[in-house]
Amino acid sequence: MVESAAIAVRDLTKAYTETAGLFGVSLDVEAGSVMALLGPNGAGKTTVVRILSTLLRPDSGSVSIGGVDALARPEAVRAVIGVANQSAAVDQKLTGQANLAMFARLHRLPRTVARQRSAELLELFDLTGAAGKPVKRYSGGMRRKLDLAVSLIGRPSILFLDEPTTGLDPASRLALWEIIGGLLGQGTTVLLTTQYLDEADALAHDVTFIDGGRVIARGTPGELKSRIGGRRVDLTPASAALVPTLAGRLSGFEATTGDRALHVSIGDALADLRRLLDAVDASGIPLEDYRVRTPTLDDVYFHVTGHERPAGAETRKEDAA
Amino acid sequence: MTPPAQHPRSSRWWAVSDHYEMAGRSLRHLAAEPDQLVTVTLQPVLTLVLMYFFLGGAIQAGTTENYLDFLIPGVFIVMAGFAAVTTATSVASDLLQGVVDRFRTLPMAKSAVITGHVVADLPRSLIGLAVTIAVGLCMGFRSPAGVGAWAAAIGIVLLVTFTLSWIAAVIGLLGTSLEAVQQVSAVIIVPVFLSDALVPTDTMPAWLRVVAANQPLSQATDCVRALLAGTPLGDHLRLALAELVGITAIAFTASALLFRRRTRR
Repeated sequence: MVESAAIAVRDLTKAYTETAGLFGVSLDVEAGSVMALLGPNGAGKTTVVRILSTLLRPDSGSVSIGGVDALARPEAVRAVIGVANQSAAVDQKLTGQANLAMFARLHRLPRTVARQRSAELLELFDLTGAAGKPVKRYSGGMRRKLDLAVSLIGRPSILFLDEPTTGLDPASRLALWEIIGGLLGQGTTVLLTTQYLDEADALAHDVTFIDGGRVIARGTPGELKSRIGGRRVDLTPASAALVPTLAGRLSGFEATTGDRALHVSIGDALADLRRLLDAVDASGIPLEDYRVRTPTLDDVYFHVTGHERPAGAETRKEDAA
Repeated sequence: MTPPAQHPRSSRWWAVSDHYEMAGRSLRHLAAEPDQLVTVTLQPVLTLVLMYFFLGGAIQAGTTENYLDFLIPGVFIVMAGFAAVTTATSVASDLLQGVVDRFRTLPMAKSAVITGHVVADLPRSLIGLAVTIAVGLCMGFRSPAGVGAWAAAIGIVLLVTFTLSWIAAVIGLLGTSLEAVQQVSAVIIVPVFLSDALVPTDTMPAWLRVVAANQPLSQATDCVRALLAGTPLGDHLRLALAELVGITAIAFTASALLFRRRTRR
């Protein structure tokens, strides 16, 4: 096991059926770093988080959280972790303030600390104005923020966030990124799952891709992007209907079709770009827009999972940016 | 890494604190939704008024006692039943709405999740008891009992609430939907009506009388009646305690096992 690992997981298996579950997942998260767990829906991300946060027992494998064997001593682990799951797990009938106060006490904080910490977190998550309102009258985004605040109430040294920004508006997402940055400054270790690959790119020191319950790629975002290498050229024809036609005329290139643009992979050399542009000229299809860029984690995602780039994938990325 | 700022108290102290917090939580639900109080106030008062004014005359014929004095202790037990019903839905909604996962990731005593709701039924029950007594006094109920006998009577009503509340917890833990639990939890009230709480058993058919007169809720009612009327307790107290404690032990064990099954890792 890595010496400085705050989370060390070895050969985790949890078979739900022959094909669903985890089949030998190992990962290490260095203390004070952010690990993003990525993969398609049903890949097993939530199962990993539930096992690491002591909610689920694996069939086999080992889990060490903060140096403690999580399978043998879950109670000791619960004292050092914070968890925000996909379903906002707060008390709907209580106010935001009362929720924080209660969870602080259940985290066994002294009353004065509990009060002070609740006020700090309400401020941090911009919920002070809604502190006295029952949670069932909160919007979805406010509930999500309260849930994240509750996950921080015990000053966890290790934090598990399962899709923390799903349902948050862009301003709240950025605010959460900042909060996570602040936690890292205090030495907190974070493991998060996300649907937004730009989020992983912005926050994570390390990325682990899982699919079908297995780790299919891991590394820093930079490593992963350079591993697939080259450049991407996004070609946007004057009309969306021309995307397949363009793809047909550029059959000599490796490309994936989006709903508005064609994404062509080329080498790093200037000559590669020139060859492509010549081919575009020869195709006679007018372009409305074009862009040359280095690969993003989205490209890594489609490369490693082998999934087709779905229609609208780039619009989602655009929304998220 | 920031170590968690845990208070240097014993784990037993914190386990008690967890139960206190969770009972407080359940009572805060009551403050947030005061309509929960309707079941412990309006229901027993309605039972009292309806039984006394509509059926009192007819029932009076079958007994030698004053029917109001007979009825009031029975209504206490009715109230205890209604006070317990809330626990079934509270437990079910905790399990079904995901908040139980939060509790499970905390360093708290997990038993407090269920016990908190059960314990909170006791103050709920006291509120109902106060309202029922007040209405009873207005209707002309009088008792020669002293403070000690009243305290014992109230203690028995609370024990009945506690017992029924654990049964309600079992129903909540068995439920797969909130609606189903709401429907099923009404069965907690049924044994109250199959006892001598509201009507004398003398006129029942023999087979039913044997069951109705000896079941724990009848024993408890008879106890409260004797305490408030200042008549001898006989075997009622011993039997009521034995039966209620026995049922509580069974329901408690069942709920502990079910909780473990519902939250199996």
